[in-house]
Amino acid sequence: MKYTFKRIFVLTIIVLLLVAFSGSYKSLSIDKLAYVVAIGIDKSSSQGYNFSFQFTNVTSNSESGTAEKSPSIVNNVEANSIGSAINLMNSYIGKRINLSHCKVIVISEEVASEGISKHIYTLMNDTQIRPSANIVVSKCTAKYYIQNSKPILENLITKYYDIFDYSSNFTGYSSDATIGDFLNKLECDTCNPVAILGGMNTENIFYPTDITENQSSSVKANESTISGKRGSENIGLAVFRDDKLVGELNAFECLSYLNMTNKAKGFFITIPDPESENSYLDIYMSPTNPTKISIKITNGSPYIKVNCYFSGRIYSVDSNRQYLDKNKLEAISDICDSYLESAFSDYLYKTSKEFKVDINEFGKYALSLFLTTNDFNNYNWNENYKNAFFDVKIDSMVESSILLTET
Amino acid sequence: MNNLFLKKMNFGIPETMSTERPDKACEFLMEGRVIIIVNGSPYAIILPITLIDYMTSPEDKNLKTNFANFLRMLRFIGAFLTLLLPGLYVAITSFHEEILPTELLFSILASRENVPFPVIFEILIMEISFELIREAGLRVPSPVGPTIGIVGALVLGQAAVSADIVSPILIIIVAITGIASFTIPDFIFGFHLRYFRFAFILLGYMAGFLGIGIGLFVYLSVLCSLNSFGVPLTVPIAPKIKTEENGYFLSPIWKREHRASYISSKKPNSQENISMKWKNSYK
Amino acid sequence: MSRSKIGTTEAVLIILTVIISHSILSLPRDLIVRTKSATILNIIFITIICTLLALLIAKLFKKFGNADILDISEYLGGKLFKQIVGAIFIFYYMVSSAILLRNFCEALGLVYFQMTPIIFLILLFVIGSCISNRLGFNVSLKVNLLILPIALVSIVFIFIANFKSFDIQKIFPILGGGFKDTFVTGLLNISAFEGLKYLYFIPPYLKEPEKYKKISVLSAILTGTYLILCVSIILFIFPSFFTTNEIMPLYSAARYISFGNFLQRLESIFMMVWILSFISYLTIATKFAISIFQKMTNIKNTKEIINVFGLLTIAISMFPKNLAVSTFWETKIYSYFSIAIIFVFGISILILANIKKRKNL
Repeated sequence: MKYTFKRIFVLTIIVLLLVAFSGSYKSLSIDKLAYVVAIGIDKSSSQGYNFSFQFTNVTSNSESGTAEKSPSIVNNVEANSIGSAINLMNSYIGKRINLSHCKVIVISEEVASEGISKHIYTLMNDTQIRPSANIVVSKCTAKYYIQNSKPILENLITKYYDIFDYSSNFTGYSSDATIGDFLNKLECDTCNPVAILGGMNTENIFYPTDITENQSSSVKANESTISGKRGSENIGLAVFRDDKLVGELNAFECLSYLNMTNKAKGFFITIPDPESENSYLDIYMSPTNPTKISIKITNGSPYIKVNCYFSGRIYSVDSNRQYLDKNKLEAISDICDSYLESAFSDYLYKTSKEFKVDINEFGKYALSLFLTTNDFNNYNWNENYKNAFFDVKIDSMVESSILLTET
Repeated sequence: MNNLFLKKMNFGIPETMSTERPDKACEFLMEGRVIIIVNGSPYAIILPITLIDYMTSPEDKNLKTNFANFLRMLRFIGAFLTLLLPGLYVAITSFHEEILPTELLFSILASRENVPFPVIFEILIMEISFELIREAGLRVPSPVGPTIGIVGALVLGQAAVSADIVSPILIIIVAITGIASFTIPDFIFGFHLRYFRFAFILLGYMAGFLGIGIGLFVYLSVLCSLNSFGVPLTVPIAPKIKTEENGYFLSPIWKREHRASYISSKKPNSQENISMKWKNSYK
Repeated sequence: MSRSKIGTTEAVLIILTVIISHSILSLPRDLIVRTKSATILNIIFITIICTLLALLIAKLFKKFGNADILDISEYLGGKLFKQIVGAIFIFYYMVSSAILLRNFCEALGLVYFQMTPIIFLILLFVIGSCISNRLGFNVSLKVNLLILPIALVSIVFIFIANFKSFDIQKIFPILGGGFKDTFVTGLLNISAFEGLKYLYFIPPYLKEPEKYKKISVLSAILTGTYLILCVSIILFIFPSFFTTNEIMPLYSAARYISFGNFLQRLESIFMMVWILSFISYLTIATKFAISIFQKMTNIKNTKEIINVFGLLTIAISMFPKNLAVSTFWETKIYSYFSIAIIFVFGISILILANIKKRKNL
């Protein structure tokens, strides 16, 4: 009797728990969720925002083995906040929107200039969003950017979103700006956040811009001369002061940023050839040691000393040339040094005088000069950064060309 | 019949092990255990038994130590997969999809597009069918034996997927679970694991990793509470006994100097300190 | 029923369960809010103090052989004092485990189970711990021995996996909020060492009582090391001038782990490990509360009492109205409570009893 009673009791508890948890397991089941891969935020004509959600319709691989490129679906809705936009979109789609595989958050320039802290905090408050999702500030509308983000070398657009920030490792023209880092830098007193700068390439641009620059390294998104099947491109960085957009960095400035923050792995530079006028050499530089930064406070202003170390390989070779000559390599190295020193100095003074934001996280090196948090707060690093002096020293060594040493 | 009055089932794990192989029985006898042989039965009963003994095979000591340890690690992974893999799959697809790489998730979604059943129903159908085939394979007459394997593979694998009854990913999960269950040397312990994986499937479906975590805790508690004739089942890990030769992994043959201390054998040393004296004798 | 014995490793791991379970919740964040960037310095300072306190406790217990604090309080003030001390400790064990349980279930509910009422999450934990307690005295200790090393490895893994996003400069300014904040007000961080509450009750159960001193010192040092690891993870990833409070900082830190593009968002796996260690903590806390009760009332069979204590845990955890109230209890009231009972009340009883013993001699 007691045994039966015990068994019935146990069974009741199991059924009770199954019923109690039914809400959770029914609503979170994989079949009932729609996975957003990109979110776009634009300003709308009324007071709110225009939100775009990109989904990808995955069809199974056919038996023949050829997989077709999965089409992406972009839906838009106007709402005052992300929460109400998601609510409206849920009722339209039928399935419940899930942000756990959202790779990119695209914000238009207009919205970014007004301040995006509300969106960032709301998104990071959600348990689903990945801290590694990239933030892109687009010079065109976010909706246009997302609609033109099509996979060309991949089947799924998510694969492209996963790896496009990886290109910063070997080009230096973009950076891996994630929403997690953005939030941390927003909260931090000693630095300011950046985002990837996105735009449309020449084929898809619908208002012509004046491309006057000759050098390919000083372009930004929306201004490059790239034309290809995918309309969107990401070159450069968007600079924020707190949560408002204050400026943009072009390709080479972005490269300087990566070197200051020790994220650069390798990049190309183009320098004038010491042996012939009107001729240029492409050198592939890679850092040999981490960038050394030391800070002193002199007369109340920061004096920042930056030391970078590179090794280089000559990439572009010409006929009738000798590429293993020690003197010539030294001359090329000296030109690289002065080129990089002036480029990095220009970039640093731009962040200090023009943007007045410390995006290179120099403030954290200044922390060791103060004994207590109050002392550091009283110094007000962000205010004093605009009076900073920079001393950039580059030590590069061009070692040789790659396969051809003499032509 | 003669075995029955000695064996006591505790949550599916017996207190003794029975074997038909004389070499296995002799090996355990040399370790210091007790063997019971009854007239008329081909089986010898070995006691006391710990959890580690269920996962060891008599061939281990004949192989080189590295390979034997590799096989032991495989068996441990096999036991883990047998018990938890279907439950983890259900928990991940019901609650924790963010763990999956995006491409894999979309691949699962695409393969599940035309499947009418929820994940739990699919997995229960497949697991029960697998058990049916396993049971049928035991009783089928030998001329027809191989056909069952082919029919089972065809029916379960190809046809079920083509008919959109189950998704292909699930077939892989069930197949890996089935293969893993065959790596466990002891039949009854393997049966015990196969039996309890259904509880974990249900827990995973109900509450995701929370359900599996609680279930795992209760399961480990039950394992730790059992003992076989005074020897706790989970020794030497819990309670921790720190003596030589008390581990899951084998040491080289010249180092196997002691018998397991939790057996309390009459002679704790099985070899001398330096057993291979002849190695340096020619110098 | 013979009294089962606890080995040295098991005893140390019992004391570590508390710090692991609490560190999953808001403990690292509370420490950093109090002492800012000097938290690591502060923890080193506090570890030294707690090691000395643990040595003191071991020394004070030496004269009494295998007695625990209940026997010592009976020696000091008679049976009535023993009942009072026992009641206080039972209250402390039950309330602390119930509050942490409530906060953990709230966090779980927020992340995974928004549609499920919280009482069912609490019920799952309590059912698991009651089953484990009913199976025997030593069972939960053995399971703890299996689970806790995995939980420790998980924290080390988070530390190593997040290493590339660490900013070591966040340890500066070295004195944080100032000398007073770090070393004087920062002394309140000693509440993190609440695991030492088990030191008062394990002497009768030890297999090797002469190793009691080693257990106390080792557990204090290991707790300090573990705390340094946890705090480093939070301090080096997130800005220290932080105004945002998260519900579970270590969970947020685990979300940053990524290996390439295919292995990201592994925090659910860590949650499973932490659920295991949490239920282990709950089981052990309930078990010790039951054994104190058994000692106070001389009950022979504790199997039915286990259910009562389970229901009591559920009742206390359902007491706070919402997350705000339970977080307030955990961050503000709980730390002062721990310091008062473990370091003030407990040590005073031991010192007074030692003085009385010396006078009688």
